[in-house]
Amino acid sequence: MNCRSVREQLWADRGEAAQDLLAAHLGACSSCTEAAAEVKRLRSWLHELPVEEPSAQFDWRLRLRLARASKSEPATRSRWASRAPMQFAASMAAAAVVVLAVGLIWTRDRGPESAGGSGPLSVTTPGTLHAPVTAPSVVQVRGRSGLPDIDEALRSEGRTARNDSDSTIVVPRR
Amino acid sequence: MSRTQVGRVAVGELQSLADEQLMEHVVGGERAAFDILVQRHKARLYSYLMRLLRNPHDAEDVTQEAFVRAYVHAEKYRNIAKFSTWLYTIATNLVRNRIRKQKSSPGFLSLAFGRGTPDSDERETIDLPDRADLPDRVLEKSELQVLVGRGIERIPARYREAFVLREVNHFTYEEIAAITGLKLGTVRSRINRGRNHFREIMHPVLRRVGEIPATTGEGSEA
Repeated sequence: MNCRSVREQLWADRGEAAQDLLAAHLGACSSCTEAAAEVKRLRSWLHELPVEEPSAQFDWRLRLRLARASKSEPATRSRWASRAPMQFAASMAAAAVVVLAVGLIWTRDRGPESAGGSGPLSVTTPGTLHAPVTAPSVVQVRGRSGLPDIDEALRSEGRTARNDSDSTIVVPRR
Repeated sequence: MSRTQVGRVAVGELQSLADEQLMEHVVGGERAAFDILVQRHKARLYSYLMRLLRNPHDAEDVTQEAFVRAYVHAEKYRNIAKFSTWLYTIATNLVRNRIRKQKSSPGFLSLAFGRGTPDSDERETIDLPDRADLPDRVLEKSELQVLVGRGIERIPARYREAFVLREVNHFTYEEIAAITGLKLGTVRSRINRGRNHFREIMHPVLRRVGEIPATTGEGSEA
């Protein structure tokens, strides 16, 4: 056994045969003996390192996170599987708001009270991403006759009803 | 594991069960079994994560997230690996994701005390207080532990992970391979490199201790 292979084995978990060979070398080599003592000392320091405890709030915070997780993600369902229906519901809610708005405008424009006036036509939508599928609480229609293209107007404004909560979307006159 | 495999048992009885048996009860819906697993593993897992992340807030957050994922995905646990191996695999992956995110964020500042990157191979040594500041005084055990902790933190991240798992948490090479997703040969090589780095980093402390042999404190002398 030479010094190099001894140095490589100082940290290793050795079998009895290797242990004997190592001991024989160490008995005759002061430099490797010193290196072996260093490794032994470092190991003992590592073994004595204290185990650090997390903060006192760890347990209740974990409880809270576990409660949230088990509410939203039952153990049998994957994260994605549990989120997909929510995203679907949100999309449906947004679509329903747009359809309802178009319907109301169309109905009013055809009704006796529809007035051809000047000024912009605005639609206030209360929609948010997670809004339930219900009729919007406020829909204001001002303006003109004819069927407005809400989707086109939204696009031209660079906004979407899904992203704006309680926003007033101004549709330019045709 | 099926939810009907295990019956409910008293908390006192649960305490005596092995981790893997407790997991069967967790899958069976017994929250108390999971609480016991948390109490058994939280401190050691947190310590491990502290050594990797070097930030108490991050370490605690990842510890909790690892437990939450273990709980939510309990049914995916297969009793072919130790529970601790599975838990540390989850935690190690979370750490990697976090470090990756930090690296890619615009405000990223090196985790390595502002010197080099966590993956840097640059070798550093421990800065000891000037001897003149500590005349004839031996290093207290607690001081030594702080220096050892700092020494571990200065091992490059790519070696530190395997080094800590082996030398501090005492996992086997095979378990470390499972936790890190590395081949056994790579694990051996990284542990050895980590050891060499650690020895070099700690050289000033070893020298100092060599000069004053009584410094390691009670029971710590090799």
